[in-house]
This record gives sequence, structure tokens and C-alpha cells, in this order.
Amino acid sequence: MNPAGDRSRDARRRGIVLAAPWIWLLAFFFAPFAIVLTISFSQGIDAMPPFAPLVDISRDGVDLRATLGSYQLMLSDDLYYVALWNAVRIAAVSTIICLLIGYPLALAIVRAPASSRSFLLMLAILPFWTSFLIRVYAWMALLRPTGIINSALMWLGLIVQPVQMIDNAFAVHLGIIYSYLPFMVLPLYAALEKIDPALGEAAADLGARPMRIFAAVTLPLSLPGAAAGCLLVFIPAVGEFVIPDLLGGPNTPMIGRVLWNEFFANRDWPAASAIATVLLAILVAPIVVFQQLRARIAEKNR
Amino acid sequence: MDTCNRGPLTGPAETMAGAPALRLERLSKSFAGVPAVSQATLEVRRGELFSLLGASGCGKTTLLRLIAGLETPDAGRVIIDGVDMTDRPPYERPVNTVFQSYALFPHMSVAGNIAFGLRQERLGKAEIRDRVRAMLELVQMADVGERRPHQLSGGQRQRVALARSLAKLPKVLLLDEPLAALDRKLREQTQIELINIQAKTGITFILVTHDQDEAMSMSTRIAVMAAARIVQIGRPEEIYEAPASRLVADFVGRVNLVDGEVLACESGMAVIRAADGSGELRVRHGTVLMPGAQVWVAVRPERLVIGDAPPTDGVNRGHGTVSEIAYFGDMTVYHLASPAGRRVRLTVANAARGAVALPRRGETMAYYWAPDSGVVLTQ
Amino acid sequence: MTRRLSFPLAAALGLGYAFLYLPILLLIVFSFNESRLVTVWTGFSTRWYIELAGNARILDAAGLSLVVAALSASIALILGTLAAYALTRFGRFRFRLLFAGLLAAPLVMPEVITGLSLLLLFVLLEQAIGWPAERGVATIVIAHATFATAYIAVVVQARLAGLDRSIEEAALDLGARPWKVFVWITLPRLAPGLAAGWLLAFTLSLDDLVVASFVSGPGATTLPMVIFSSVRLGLSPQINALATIVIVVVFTAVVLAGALLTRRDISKI
Repeated sequence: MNPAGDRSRDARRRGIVLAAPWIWLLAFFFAPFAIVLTISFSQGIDAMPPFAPLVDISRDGVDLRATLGSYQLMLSDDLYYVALWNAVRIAAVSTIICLLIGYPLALAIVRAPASSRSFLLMLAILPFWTSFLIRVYAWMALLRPTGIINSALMWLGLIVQPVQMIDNAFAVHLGIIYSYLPFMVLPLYAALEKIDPALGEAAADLGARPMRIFAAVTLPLSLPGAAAGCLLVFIPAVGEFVIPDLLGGPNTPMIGRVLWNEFFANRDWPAASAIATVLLAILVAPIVVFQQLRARIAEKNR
Repeated sequence: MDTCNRGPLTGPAETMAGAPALRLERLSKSFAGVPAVSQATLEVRRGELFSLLGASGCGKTTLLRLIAGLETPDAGRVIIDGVDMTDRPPYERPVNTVFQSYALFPHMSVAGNIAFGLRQERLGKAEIRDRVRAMLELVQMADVGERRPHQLSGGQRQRVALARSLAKLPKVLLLDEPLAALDRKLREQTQIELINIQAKTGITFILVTHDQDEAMSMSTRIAVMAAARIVQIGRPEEIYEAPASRLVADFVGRVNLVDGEVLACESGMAVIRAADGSGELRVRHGTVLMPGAQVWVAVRPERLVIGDAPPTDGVNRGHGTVSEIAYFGDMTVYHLASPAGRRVRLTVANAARGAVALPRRGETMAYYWAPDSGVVLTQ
Repeated sequence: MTRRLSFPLAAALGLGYAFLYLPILLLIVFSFNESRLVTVWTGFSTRWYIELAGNARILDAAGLSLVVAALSASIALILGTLAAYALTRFGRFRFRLLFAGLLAAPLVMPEVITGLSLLLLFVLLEQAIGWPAERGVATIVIAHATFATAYIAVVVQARLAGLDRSIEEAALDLGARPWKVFVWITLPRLAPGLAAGWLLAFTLSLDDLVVASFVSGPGATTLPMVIFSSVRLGLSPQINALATIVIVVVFTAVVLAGALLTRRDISKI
């Protein structure tokens, strides 16, 4: 057989397999971002769709009508960077608390007897499969002034009047931590499970006490998993809309919610596009780090 | 009491008075009701290179982990250097382990791995540095201290694991199949190195292995384990020449076993009638055997001599058809089918190059063996 | 080693699961409450389930959501499997890094960005080529298939990486052509992963509010969109009843999927 012909047949076969996902991803994932970027430079108009084309071709010639108006709006109005700063801060704080809750949980699952490990793991990720919206809704019923927690505390006599627990930043943190906890536990579990138990035994054998073993062996070796978990929580949390909308009240603007309002309430598509562009620009670095981390972890697993 | 046969290798510590390096008293451990170690009792003297030999699953690794404190015994005591350590956690025991997988910390350099145990003792920086350097030199790895474990070859990793455990100057060093992951050439070379390091440091070594050659060539004494029990403890030549049971005889080296009944036993010579009707066997035997007792006669293949004409009277003879021949270079193994239907294994050292005209497959071959070449086994 | 958990770890496990499950449990309990108030227990009743059964708006939306979820999961299954196969079996190919990056990006991409960008694409496409003339089921399906592809690719990749390649090589050696090897050898051994991936994509689609809100038109309202507009107005025991049904269905599906997936695959998502 002719090896060159073989190789070209092989290449053709690969091309066929790759074509569909490539086309789909470029058309429905990559191209839309280019469009968002373009429209963020266009002018809003009162029409459908509510933005002017960037390039206007008329009898007088080609007219470029790009504008930085939407970006200037973002700079001039406090609302945008307060919302952006809020989003980053709330997402970061929630991520850290998620890590503090998720780490012992993941460690406990890994250290549990082998027979119950997969059951415990399934229990930890089960909420991730149920509706996100429903889980946020569950907290609304818990946190309201007339809600279950307040009623219980008053019945116990611990408080005399309801404590404000909803429509503030506290509720948003809680909602994010609750909703994203499984995303933290999974990569942590994967990283902790991969650590050879013999390493801990070797450390004990060499004289390290349990706390030292954790600090010197378990913790450093689980860092890639912790980093992956943090990014998996932080990145989507920054753009979160549902949680601040349902639990945050009017005083906790977050950037995802502002984008939603610009788009649906104000019908200002260029402004929404500009917000999306800025948000993406902020998140590009963590997304790239996340991808590299994933690639590195996958490489190690090979 | 028997004495050690390997004076130069056991080091100066051996002659020191005092408690044995390790004593196990009726140590037992089972997992989910299945015994892994049952009633293990043994004593290891200072400076010994002691082997735990057995097939996989016989409990030898569990026994090692019980000594290290990585498993808690169900019953029995572990006494290290005269101190009862049964209830102490691993980090308080003066023993260190070379793990089968080496268990090197992947996120630390070679030097960091070796220093780890020393840091737990809160030694000074300078002292740790000196000890790490000394250990790297001991295992001939002085130039790779800054590398990470994944940059090392298997043999290098093994040495780092050894250096890491030796750095703490343990009372007893435990080695769990330390050579299993190495290829054959490297394994033989490392065996010699291990013996040299043991002699140089004088530290007591306890080696777990499933490889009888390794145990035989390296150890001062061997404990043979089978089915969670220690079945025999002795010097390599005792284990080989005077196995305590058929099981040991069969596990350590190859053996021809014939079962039979004792006809007579006088002045150390036992006369045994083979059960297959092939005749009477004479074995020089140390203890008294009761006539009528059921016994087994074990003869090592290399003790069978080819030939027709026995030089003296009273030797045991036999013949058979050559059914298989395996040439190993240094020796040749023959399998004979005896007239009674037994398989006889016989090895011949190839002392001269192609000199002797040896039998071929299908030919009949006669052999004999002297009465003091066999062993009578009662269990 | 099967040692018992130390006390702090056992406590972490207990508190962690209490935190995860108490809100859901209370939600279910109050779906059987007699009163309209979903926070004060007055007595057992199934009236909200009966009212729910008569709520045409919710039932229509649920039907639409199921159709969308099934369609988008099926498209994503094909795309995701092809992509995962390419990434695990083709070694290096041109733009591999970009391909892998594009494929995995939806895993973390904020939904508002995905939703907005897809909507703008659909609007521009409509202007340029007249398609899609109306936004609705088709556009939601496309949008959901896009992000579900990422999840399926991850699950299938993990599964493929765990498969012994020598079995495929043995089939090639025995004379099977590559596509036959894929159909007769790889695919059957991949089946549990594919089933689990499809279920995952299906639930993700059922769950999505944000992306669907952007790309949907006036004619198509999915279940999360109905729930959201209702919840925004306040708590409603009918939503509790609906939530209970969703939770029961999903838990059953996950237990099924859990039987199909090995622990290894789950932990790699």
C-alpha cells in the first residue's frame, strides 16, 4: 500500500469528524462574540433591531458610524463600575467561602470508607442537577422576614422582630455559595482522590503528625484542584443574573443584572454589548488560566 | 542457638549486648474477618538483614505495616529496641519504611524529600543540609539533589526513597519489595548496594520480598510466610537444606517430593517405602521416626546425579524417560517420567563447554542420590 | 484502608449535606401545605398539585421545555462525541488548542454573555438571510446545544481516555475499517458515557433561564421562564409543588445516570 495515500485518506477522515463541531463552534460560539464586539461600537436607535449599522452604505458613499458612546456611558455613570466592582467582590468572597466549605467536604468524601464514597459523591453533586432556579427559590422562602428562619428564631425567642436577611448582599453571597458549591467540591474531590495514600503514610513514617501531613503533603498536592474549583465558581458567578435579581433586592446591583436590564428594560443593545465586552475582557485572564489548568490536569491523568 | 553466617555484613552492632532490634509477640491482624497476619512471633537482632519471604497475599506486607505503625494490630505486641510501641502512631516510632511505590513527594525536590523527615525532628538548618548531603553521597546521587522525582529513573527513585528513610537513622529500616520495580540487571546490582549500605550503616534491615533468590542471597535470616502465618524462620541454608514442611520446601527452590511410610529408623538412617511402589528410600535423618509414620522425602534437583554406577552401597536409585529439557546456559533442567508415573526434576551444571554428550528427549536416564541429600518431612 | 472518619471531617460532612439539602427538603414539605403562605404550616393538602395540573400555562411551558431539552441534548450528543473523539484519538491537529478552548469555554462562560451574543447573531442572520424568521424553539435548541456540547465533550472525553485503545487496535488488526471499529467497538463501550452525557445535557437545557430568555421570541416560553416570572412576583405554593415534581424526576434520573457513570467520569466534569 502507498503510505502517502494512506495519510491523505487519514486526513480526510479526520476532516469529516472535525468539520461538524468546528463549524458549529465557530458559527454559534465564536462568531457571536465578534458580533457583540461590533455592536458595542454602534449607536442605539429606536427601531428593531435597536441599533444602527456600523457601516452605512448609501448613495453618498460608504459611511463608518462607529462610536465609543456606550463605553463613555459606562465611564460616566457610577452604576456600571459599582455593579462591576460589586460583582467581582461578591463573586470573590463567595468563592473563598465556597472553598472553605467545599474543602473539608471533599476531604471527608475522599477519606470516607470506599464502600460509601461514590454514594457520598453523588449526594454532593445531586443538587447541581436540580433546577438552579428552584434552589434559589428555596432560599427566598427561608430568608424572607416572614420566612422559615425568621419564624423559627422568633418562636425560639432568640429575636423579637424579623432580621433582614433577603434583598441584600448577604443573601446574594449565600445564594452563590449554595448554588455553586458542587462546582467546588467536584474538582477538589478529583484532586484529593488522586493523591497516593502512600504519600501520607510515608510522611507519617518519617515523623510528621497529622496536621503536618496535611500542610506539607495533602494541601500542596490538592492546589490544582482547588484552583480549578475556584475558577469554576468565580467566573460564572461574576456574570450571575438570577441570584442577585431574586435575592439581592434593589441595592445590590451586579454587572450581569445591569446587562439584563440594559437589554430587556432599556432596550439599549449597544450598551448591553459594551457591558458584555468589558465583562468578557475582565474574565479572559481567568478563563485562559482555567483552560490551561484543565489541560495540565488532563495531561497528568494520561 | 544458631549464629549468623554473615559476620562481615552484619556490622558491629550485632555484637552489642542488649535488647533485640525488634520483637513481635503473637501479632494478629485481620481485614473484614479475613486474617492477614496470624500469631506472628519473631525476634530480629541488631544489624541483621532479615527477610520476610512469601507469595503475594501471604500477609508479609501487612506484617511490615504493623511494624511501621501504619496498621493497628488486633492482638499482640510490637517491641522496638526494647520499648513497647504497639500503641504508638507511626510518627513516634523509630522505624522508617521504603515503600514499594517509593511514595516520593512529587512536589518536593530530591533534597527536600530527604530533608522532610529531618525537619520533623526540628534539627538545625546546617545539620539538615549536612545530613542530606551525606545521604545523597551514600546512595551515589550527590548531583541530583535539586531534581524532582518525576525527572528520575526508577533506579534513582529507589535510591532516593532509601536515602530518605535512612536519613533519620532508624532503629529498624523496613523495605517493602524495594527492588520489585527494577529490571533484572539493575536489581542484582542494587541488591549488592543494599548489602553494602547496610554493612556501612549497621542499621537493622527488614526486607519484604516474594523473590526467593533475593531473600536467599541478601539475608542473614529469613521468615517464610504462608497464609498469614510464619511457617519457618532460619538462615538461608537452613531454609533451603532443612525446610520445616513441604510448603517451605516447595516455595523455596525446587524440590522432588515422594510420599511414603517409615519402615525402620536406626542410627540416623531412615528406611522409607515409597507409596508409588518404586521401592525403598534411605535418608540420613537427625531425629527419630516412628515406623509406620506417613512422611515425605524431599530431594533438591541438583542433588540427583546422572549415572548408572553408584559409588557406594545404600544410595537411592531411579530411572526415567526424558520428557522435557530446558537449557539455561549455566545449567540444564531435565524432567524425567519415572516408570511409576512420577515426574522427576533433575538439574545438571554445565561445567564444561559442550563436553559431555547429554541425553536427549525420549532417552532413558538413570540417576542416584546419596542418603544425606534428602530430607524427611513430617508435615 | 477503611478507617473511620475523624470527628471534624464527619462534622464537615454532616453540616455540608445539611446545608445542601435542608432548603430543598423544606421546599418539598411546604408544597404539601394547606395554606397559601409557603412559610407557615397549617395542615397537609395536595391542593397545589391539583391546581398545578390545571395550570395550562405551566403545562404548555413544561411540554415545550421537554421538546427543547430532548432536541438540544441529541444535537449536542453528536457534536460533543465527535469533538471528544477528535481530542482523544487524533493526537495533534491544526488549531487543536483553539478547538479545545472553544469547546470548553461554555463551561464557565457567564450565561448573560452567551445569551446576548447568540441573540445578536440570530438578529443579524435574520436581517442578512431571512433566517431565523422567528425566534423560538429552533433558536433555543441551537443555543442550548452549543453549551451542552461542552459538557458532553467533557464526559465523553473522560470515558474515552479510560478505554483501552488496544481493543480498537486489535479490531483494526483483524481487518475492520476505522468507521466500523468506531461503530462496533468504540461506541458500545462508550454507551454508558453517552447516555449519562445526554441526560446531563437534557437537565441543563431544562434548567436554563438566562440564555433561553435572550434567544426566545414571543411565541416560545420555557418552563424556567414561567417559573421566573411567577417567582419574581412572590412565593407561590404552586411553584413549590412544581419544584417538588422536578426534584423527584431529576433525582430519579440522576440515580439512573449514576448507575451508568463510574465515579471517575463524574469527578472529571
